[in-house]
Amino acid sequence: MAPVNSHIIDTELIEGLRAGSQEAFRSLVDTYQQRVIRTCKGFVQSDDDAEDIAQEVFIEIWKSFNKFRGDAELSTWIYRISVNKSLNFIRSAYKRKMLSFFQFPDSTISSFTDDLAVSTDYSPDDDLGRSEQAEAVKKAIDSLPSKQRTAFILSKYDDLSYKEIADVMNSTIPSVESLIFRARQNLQKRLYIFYKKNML
Amino acid sequence: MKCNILNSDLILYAERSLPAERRDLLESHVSECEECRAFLAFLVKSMTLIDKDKETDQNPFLYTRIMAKMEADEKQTWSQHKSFIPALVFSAIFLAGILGGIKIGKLYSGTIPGYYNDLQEEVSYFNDISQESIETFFIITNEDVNE
Repeated sequence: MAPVNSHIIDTELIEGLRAGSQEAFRSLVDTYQQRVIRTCKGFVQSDDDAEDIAQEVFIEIWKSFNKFRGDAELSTWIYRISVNKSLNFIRSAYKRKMLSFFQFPDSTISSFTDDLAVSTDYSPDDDLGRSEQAEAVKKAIDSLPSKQRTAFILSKYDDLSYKEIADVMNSTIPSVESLIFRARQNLQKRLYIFYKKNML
Repeated sequence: MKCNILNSDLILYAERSLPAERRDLLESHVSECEECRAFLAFLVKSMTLIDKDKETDQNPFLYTRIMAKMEADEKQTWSQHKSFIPALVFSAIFLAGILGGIKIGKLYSGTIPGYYNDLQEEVSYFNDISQESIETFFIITNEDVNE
């Protein structure tokens, strides 16, 4: 449950935004930017992309604030927009990748296992090893089914409770529990593939 | 305890979300199994990398960038609308030409003296079946035979 202070801030922001106040919008950006960028970071590979998506999120909030009915928390609504914009970005990137595949027949769309660099020099303790592992973790998260990925990111990146995640995803708490459990299992399987290739 | 039974608990342990009753069992196994111990260390490091990745600094310029982007999007929308104007003008001229042609054509229909009536007379000669009934058409007269 959101603390009382944040609830008061949200109420003031909602009133200001309904009145079309730019000051209220600036305040919203300052209050929520870290949460939005953190959510987007969970879905995309680069920090720059995460910030680009975050800009789109806030523009969407400004343009369509009249659609916010107030039956959910403001934060829930903002997380929903963040997730949708991130998923749209991924779909657009995938379409661009498919187009480039048809334009350049020699290129291949690699699977999760093919894409992993099998480095004989891999050492988990040096910077290169850590960045390869970080990339492997990111790819493992990206390869999860969409709902599992969303639930996992909202849990792991945003530290949302199961109730909050259920509100964002328009789902139930048992469904969210199941999604996160399966996400973790799948993540472990995918990470084990990388681990076997590089460590054993 | 076999590794595969505890396998799915490893990531929960790495995330510090394994229930207490299973934690002791896992720790006991991991202390004896080198393979599980090594993979657990790998998973713990992976979760730490996620914690590192999610760190975000407050960006004081984000609001300015958002406003600049909104302005740029508005300008782009207007220039996209402007590009339709030549096509609309051409379509209007084309449509005016067609309508004008139809209008002019209607103005000239039946204005040449006697043209329409003479045409009707000529057409009637080619359509002489209307001049006699079908019964008389089949009656063969002496005149026809002598021809």
